[in-house]
Amino acid sequence: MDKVLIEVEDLKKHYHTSKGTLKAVDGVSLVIRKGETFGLVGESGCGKSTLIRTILRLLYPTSGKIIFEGRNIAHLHEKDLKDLRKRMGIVFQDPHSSLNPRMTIFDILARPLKIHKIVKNRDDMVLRIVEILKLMGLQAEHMIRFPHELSGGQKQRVAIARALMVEPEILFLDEPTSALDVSVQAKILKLLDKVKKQRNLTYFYISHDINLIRVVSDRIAVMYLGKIVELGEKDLVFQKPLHPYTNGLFRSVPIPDPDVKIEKIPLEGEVPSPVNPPSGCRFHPRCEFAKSVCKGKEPKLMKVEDGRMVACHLYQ
Amino acid sequence: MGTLLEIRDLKVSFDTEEGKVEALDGVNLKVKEGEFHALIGETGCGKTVTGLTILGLLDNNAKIENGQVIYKGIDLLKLTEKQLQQQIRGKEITMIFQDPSTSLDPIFTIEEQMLEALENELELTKEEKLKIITEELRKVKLPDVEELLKKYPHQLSGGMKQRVMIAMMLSCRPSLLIADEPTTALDVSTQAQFLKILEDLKRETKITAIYITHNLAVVSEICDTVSVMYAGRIVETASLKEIFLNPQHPYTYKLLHSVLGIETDIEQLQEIPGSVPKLINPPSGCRFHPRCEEAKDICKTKIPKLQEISDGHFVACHKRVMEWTKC
Amino acid sequence: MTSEDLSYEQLKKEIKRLKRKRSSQVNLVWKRFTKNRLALIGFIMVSIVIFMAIFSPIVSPYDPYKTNPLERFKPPSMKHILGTDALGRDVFSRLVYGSRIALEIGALIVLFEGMIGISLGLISGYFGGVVDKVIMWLVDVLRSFPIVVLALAIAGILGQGVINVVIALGTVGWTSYARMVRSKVLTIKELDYIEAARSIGESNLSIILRYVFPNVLPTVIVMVYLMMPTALIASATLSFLGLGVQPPTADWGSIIAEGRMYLLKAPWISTSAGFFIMFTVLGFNFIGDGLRDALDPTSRRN
Repeated sequence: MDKVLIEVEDLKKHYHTSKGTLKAVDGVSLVIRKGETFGLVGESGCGKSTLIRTILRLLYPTSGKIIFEGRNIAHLHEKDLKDLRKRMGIVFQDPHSSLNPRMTIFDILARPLKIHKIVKNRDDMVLRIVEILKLMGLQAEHMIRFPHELSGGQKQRVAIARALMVEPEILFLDEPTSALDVSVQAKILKLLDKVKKQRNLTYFYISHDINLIRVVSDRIAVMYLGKIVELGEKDLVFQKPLHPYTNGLFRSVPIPDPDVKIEKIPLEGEVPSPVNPPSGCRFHPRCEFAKSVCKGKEPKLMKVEDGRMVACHLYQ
Repeated sequence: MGTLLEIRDLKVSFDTEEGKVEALDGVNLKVKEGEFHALIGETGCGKTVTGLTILGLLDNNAKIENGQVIYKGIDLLKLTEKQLQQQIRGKEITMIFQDPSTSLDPIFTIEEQMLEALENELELTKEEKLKIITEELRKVKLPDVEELLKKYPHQLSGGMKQRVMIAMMLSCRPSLLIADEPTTALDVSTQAQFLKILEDLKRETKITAIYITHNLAVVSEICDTVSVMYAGRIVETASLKEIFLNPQHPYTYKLLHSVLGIETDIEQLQEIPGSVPKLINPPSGCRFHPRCEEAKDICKTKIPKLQEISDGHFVACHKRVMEWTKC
Repeated sequence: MTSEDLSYEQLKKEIKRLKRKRSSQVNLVWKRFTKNRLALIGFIMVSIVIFMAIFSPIVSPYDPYKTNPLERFKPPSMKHILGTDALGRDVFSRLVYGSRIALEIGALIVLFEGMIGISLGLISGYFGGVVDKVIMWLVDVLRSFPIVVLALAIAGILGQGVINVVIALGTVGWTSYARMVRSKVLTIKELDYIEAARSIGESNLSIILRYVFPNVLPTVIVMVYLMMPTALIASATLSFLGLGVQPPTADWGSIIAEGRMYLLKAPWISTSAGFFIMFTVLGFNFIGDGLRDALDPTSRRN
């Protein structure tokens, strides 16, 4: 459990736009341990999608280190990435757009096997595909279908199967259930949980759904405007969120209980643009505890107690 | 509290290339004055179609086969397009949609669009209209109203657009608001702000609302009554507390227990076997029977009626109704 | 069905069903297409022209090249449905043979410009950056010339003849394909399945061929039908101006040119040739519009 799988160090991904530099990911450091489920939560535009795509090297990082199994992959050349593609997988949010509409399910699942030359012959390939379909709770006959003939939940199962085809070490899950109905969501989450235990995988979930992250994760991180503001063991963070943003965010979540209502508006205002973000602590204009130091100096992500880190001047 | 809107045995079908889709099959719904009535269900259960039917906004390939929509004593389905446009839409009943950016016209400023919404108010001068508009925008807690009026929709964030929509709709002082997944496109913090605004409105203006959503947590924040839809029918209607604490229909029960937040452990999440049926060829009898663990023979043949089993608690399930009549 | 009880034979059966399924998708498009009355009329019109082209010797009552000084400038009659020309040749027979040349040249032009345009459009849209800028600059430059004038210049340099007509028109025509394909690629490129393809290690070439191109294909098919008329008219124009197909070859453009001199004396020569061109062009346009609606039902409204 304590073996480090991925170590990200001061990772940055900046874009040049006509309005200025957009700092989508701006100095993120974190560690993913082998076998854990890591949950990253944040609102739209906080950079969580960009972060995992950069770790996966679907995007080229501006600076920083990504150490995967002892090797820095941050600046590997495009053509040296093929081996990496076999070891990390990703499942996208919207299964309707993540499957090529002109390929059958068989073709979709056969591609990873062909690219990485994993199987010897066609019979082997068919067997592998039938096996994974079965693991996903689909039937062999689904392989002859096109994506549009399947329901949303079935499509997402195919997308998961595609990512698992090459037997990766880690699966990145980008809001894997947010496009699905509640009852389907429950099924997909249970399926992912089962597969993780069976294959001893590591999961990296990202989501804006705090309840989801709470249910699936071992450790969580909260992201705001390109930076991680809090990170730690799930139970600790949920019991007592330290960063004012985390606290406000958690209190914004409606609780499905008729007796519990959201008290006064927990977070006023809106997330500022990541182009020219506020100085110092990026949360200071919305923070009720902001002091003068918060405007001038950027707080570092520091360990405050065992198993948790926070980036806030209140604790430093 | 009197009944503001009543839907009786509404049947709506769609002609598609694959065949006839029975989108609504005998929907019965009573919305009381001043309440927030939630219409919940999964994709394709007919909740949006219900909302659109009330306002006569269905597509051309839709056909209303049967039923009445009684609003303040008038059957809305009998009105002509012109009557609906002049007397009902905007004035009496308004609807807000999931994606605020598609409801606002990108080439007009907020001020122009809000004035447009008031164009039927002939007795008001422009100054009076502007006064109403600023007032409404302040009510939804939008900052810098004067500046905001000169802006175009793309200059606003999603949450602000949704608030502008609310303000626009309020300026016409409707009696009934139909909100179709209004917070689904918003972030949690903006959603919380939006829900607060709705709550204030509810308290101050006594407006009635039909709140269409799949999100049970949001429902528990602001709704009073909940109707659960499944495959084109209403399977259960009860007060918010009853639905959460004493769900009767097996579908309602399962749905509640697949919500994250009610269940906090993956192991405890309930699964509903099978998937939502296609409405081209829906299951006979109770449409939930193929997925129901308690289904009996009668469920396969006979359509269960929505029956009151305790004060204000209606359920359409053979088994539950039988149990209730026994005791 | 599970992997244990699924024999190889059964799988083969499944694959067969898959093929039937594929054809049922074609059926759906065909059903939508035939529901559209104009498209069906277009289909019949083009079929007639194709039939004439294939069976020219059977359809035409006379030899299109046989001159007959005794039968000059005969107006349409039972003997010569569309009359005769200055050399006494049967106009209808010449027009029937002309459909061969017209379709041949049309098909060659579309093939030529399509291949260049689609490849460059794919490359330009997918890679973007400098490559995109250069290709689109070329497109803009070529398009800023009036098409026929440019083709005229090229035909003037290369000389007369069928192949030169194809090259001349194709040099300009590919720009339409490139633009259309590029804009389609730009939208497809943003879809998750392209990123998903990269995440499993697909190469750029494989992504273009397996993921991008198949999704551009419906647009291209429609494009081909809509570009065919342009090609037909342009090639007829070149022939009319004496730079394309040379007399005495029976070509619609040159028939109009020949008839032009006798427009008052024998108006049937040019007008019937004009009608044949219009008929074919209209047919292809109807098919193109119908196909667009059938392949992409979302764009059907309005």
